[in-house]
Amino acid sequence: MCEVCAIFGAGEHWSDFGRLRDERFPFDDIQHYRDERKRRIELLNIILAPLEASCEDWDGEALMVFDRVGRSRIAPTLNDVWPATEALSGRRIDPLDPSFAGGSRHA
Amino acid sequence: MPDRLPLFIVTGFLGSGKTTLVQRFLREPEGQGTGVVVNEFGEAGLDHRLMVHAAENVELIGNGCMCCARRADVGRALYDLVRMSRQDGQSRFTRAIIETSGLADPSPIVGTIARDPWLRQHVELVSVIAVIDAVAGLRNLRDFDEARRQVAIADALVVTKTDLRAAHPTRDITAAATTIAPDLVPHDAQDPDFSLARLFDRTAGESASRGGTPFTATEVPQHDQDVGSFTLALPERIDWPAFTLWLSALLHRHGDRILRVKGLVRTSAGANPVVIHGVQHSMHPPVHLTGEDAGQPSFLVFITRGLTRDPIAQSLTRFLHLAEAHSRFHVSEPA
Repeated sequence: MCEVCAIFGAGEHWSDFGRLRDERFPFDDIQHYRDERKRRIELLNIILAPLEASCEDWDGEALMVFDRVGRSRIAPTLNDVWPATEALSGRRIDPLDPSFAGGSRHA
Repeated sequence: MPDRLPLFIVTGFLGSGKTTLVQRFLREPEGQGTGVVVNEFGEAGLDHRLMVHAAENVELIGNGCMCCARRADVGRALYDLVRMSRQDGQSRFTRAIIETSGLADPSPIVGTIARDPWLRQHVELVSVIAVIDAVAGLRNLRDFDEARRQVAIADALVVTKTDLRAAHPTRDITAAATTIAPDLVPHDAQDPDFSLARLFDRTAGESASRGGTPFTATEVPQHDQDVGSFTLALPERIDWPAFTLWLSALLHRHGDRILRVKGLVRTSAGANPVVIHGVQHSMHPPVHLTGEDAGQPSFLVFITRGLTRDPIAQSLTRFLHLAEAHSRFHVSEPA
């Protein structure tokens, strides 16, 4: 938990890991959620690299997206990462584009 | 957190019998304590003490996509209903129904509830009920985009006017509707076993989200602008980080053409599967499955307009391969 903000860091968004267990207190295994969240950010950075953007965790709750000159935008949820990246990079994100996310052009 | 107010959205084309259906329910003992939001002044006959009118004001936000429109009117009306339901600690309303206008696309209403933090805490969207009449319903589905969109996001289908002489067979209507939305739970309003109390029961959403009928999408041929559906089989256990990256990016770019996505997913995080469910750009929190439901194979059903299965399947495969390659790289990395 972030001691300053008192945030638990498992997230309430549909995509967050706290939603994946049907338990009243899913935070017993907080390290698991942290690890999965870290892995998601690593994957996200692989995907964002061709767009010259990157992403960092922000207290286990939000994400911070950067462009190549260091400008940043906060993405409160995973959904917000994509418009934030588009705004910073000026590029359009389309997962159906065969070259996106490890597709042939970036391989 | 106080109990959330169960909400049902009743949608359907002009003259399909939405108001009659709601009226019928309000006259039943189980219908007591139901607050109704109507956004069509032309419709009459409901008890006005139960009704909150909502003028059809739609605010477009974000990228101007219709499903991201905020229905400020509906939000305000729901806020009033929740407040009334909490008045003096008494539960005046124990359930809310929004009756949409015949030409309305219900997805902005779903989006408004999904995106408004206050409404999310106080209102539980149980199910979207599409009303279709047996006389004009088939023609409406064929001719009007609005009618197809209403069916596409519905959990349940109520076929009305099946007793009229000009009515088409109920099975034809159901077949046409399930071609658009394969997981619809169909009801015949004239069937003696049809129960409005069950249709408007709080647990109706559970059976809907768990697929009251088996999820067997009909693989209909799709043309560019057609509404159609298809199923993607998923791996036994899916990589949740890669899956969420893929789905959120897909909905970001193509949410306006993905009328609905629904599925059963097993992840490494828990023994039992979760059901995921989204309408255009809005995803609902996953629902956990237990018992018999948990035995179903993993899959996703898409209801789309002008998006075909192959590019979506290939895109998911790419994301999953990326995650797999990354984890292999990760494991072989020196500590």
